[in-house]
Amino acid sequence: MIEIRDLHKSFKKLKVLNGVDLTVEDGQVVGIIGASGSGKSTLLRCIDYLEKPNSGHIRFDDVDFDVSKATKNDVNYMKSHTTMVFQQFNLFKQKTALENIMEGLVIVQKKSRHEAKEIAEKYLDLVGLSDRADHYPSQLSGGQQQRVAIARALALDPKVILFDEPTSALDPEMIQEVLKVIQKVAKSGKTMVIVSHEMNFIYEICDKVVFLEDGKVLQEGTPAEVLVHTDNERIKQFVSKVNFIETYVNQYNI
Amino acid sequence: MANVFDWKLIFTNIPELMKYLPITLEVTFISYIMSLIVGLLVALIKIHKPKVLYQLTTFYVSFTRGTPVLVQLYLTYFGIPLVLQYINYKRGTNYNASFIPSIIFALVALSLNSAAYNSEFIRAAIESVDRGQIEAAGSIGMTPWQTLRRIIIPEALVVALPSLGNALINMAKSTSLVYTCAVVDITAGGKLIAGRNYRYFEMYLSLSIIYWVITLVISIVFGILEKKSKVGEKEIVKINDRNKRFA
Repeated sequence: MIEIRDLHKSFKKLKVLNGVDLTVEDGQVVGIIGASGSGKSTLLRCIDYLEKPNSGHIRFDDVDFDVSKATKNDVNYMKSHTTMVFQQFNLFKQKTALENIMEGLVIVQKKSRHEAKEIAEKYLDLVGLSDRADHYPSQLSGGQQQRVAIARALALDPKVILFDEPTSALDPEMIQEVLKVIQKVAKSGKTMVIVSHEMNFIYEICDKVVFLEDGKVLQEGTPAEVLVHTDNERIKQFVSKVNFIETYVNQYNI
Repeated sequence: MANVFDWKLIFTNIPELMKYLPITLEVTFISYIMSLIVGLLVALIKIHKPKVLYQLTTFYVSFTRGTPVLVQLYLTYFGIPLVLQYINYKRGTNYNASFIPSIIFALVALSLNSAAYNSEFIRAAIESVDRGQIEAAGSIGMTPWQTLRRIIIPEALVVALPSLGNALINMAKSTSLVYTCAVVDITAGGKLIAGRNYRYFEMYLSLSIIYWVITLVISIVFGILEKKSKVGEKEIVKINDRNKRFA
């Protein structure tokens, strides 16, 4: 379980996170929504410690620390138990799909190549790309690359997977194939935090939705509470502009 | 007029010169490897800009690029013994510069000279690696050192290959100056041999042929390496491969 209290992050003079509180329970799928620049991605990157937050308090299973006094062990714990799926996939372009998944297993988790290969094949199969194992990223479509990236994150078996706008760089056809894979993962009980503009998808798969505005949580609750029954004028205005249509929500059912 | 120019000598010189070739190759490859290691360190300093070290490397690169390699060879040849003398004087030790093999001076001077140039293209190659992949490596838990070794260097290598080949060619040619440090490479050896019959022109033609062949071999090898390294950027996915995409 992750519990974040009063997290602050600024880039030079630009304040991006202004005291964010966020709780993610085990097995929960949490969606983070909000306008561009509201701090969604920065929040995710702070959880994965790709960015170092300035102040706040983080509790994550075994570690409980004040961000300003974080020790190396605290940071390593955060890094090694969270894995990010990026908007631009960020596959290692000189490695094949299979090698991309094996890399962390062999180099970070020190598994034998044989064991790593078995695990990698299993997850490649999960995302439906067994026949693409020996393809390089440049030989895969965007959707396929993102599915490999998801397999790479899953294979390491982190406690939490963070999705940073996983479909924003894809064309509409490919969005579906990636969302289906993410949904499959969500149903398997993996803890996930998803930043996305796919409102119907968020509505469909999330247990909880958090609306960020100017680096603060404006509202959080079930998808229905935040997206449909909100009283907040700002959220109403946002939802009306992102073509969230309730009757379409079942399109992702597999 | 028959003796003005001796064609045959150009080719008969070559077998004799071959006995000096190991020295030329040794200096070339050892200096090259060292120049790459130092060049990589300097490039990393340029990228991360640690205090003091950064200023030192800026000075080093500027000085090295601003002075001729011939002068640098003399500087090391006369400078290292001086430094040893100074250390002996200060610490009461008894190092003797005349026990240092002269090839060491040549290796130090040539590798430091080349490293200054190499650091520039190595830095550019490292900076050309997509930041996203470095972040991804961090996200899956790789340490900065693992990321450098497993992700950054293999990718930067592809970008840097043409410049790496050039650097090796330059190194092979620069070794012709090591006579200044009393190292007898093919050029120095050739001068000795030519001194016997004063056929200097023929000798320098023989030397030209050897250097030319060496550089040709290097460019061919690097050409092959470049082709091989383009793995991962070969094909573009076929757009009409739709059924498989949704498999």
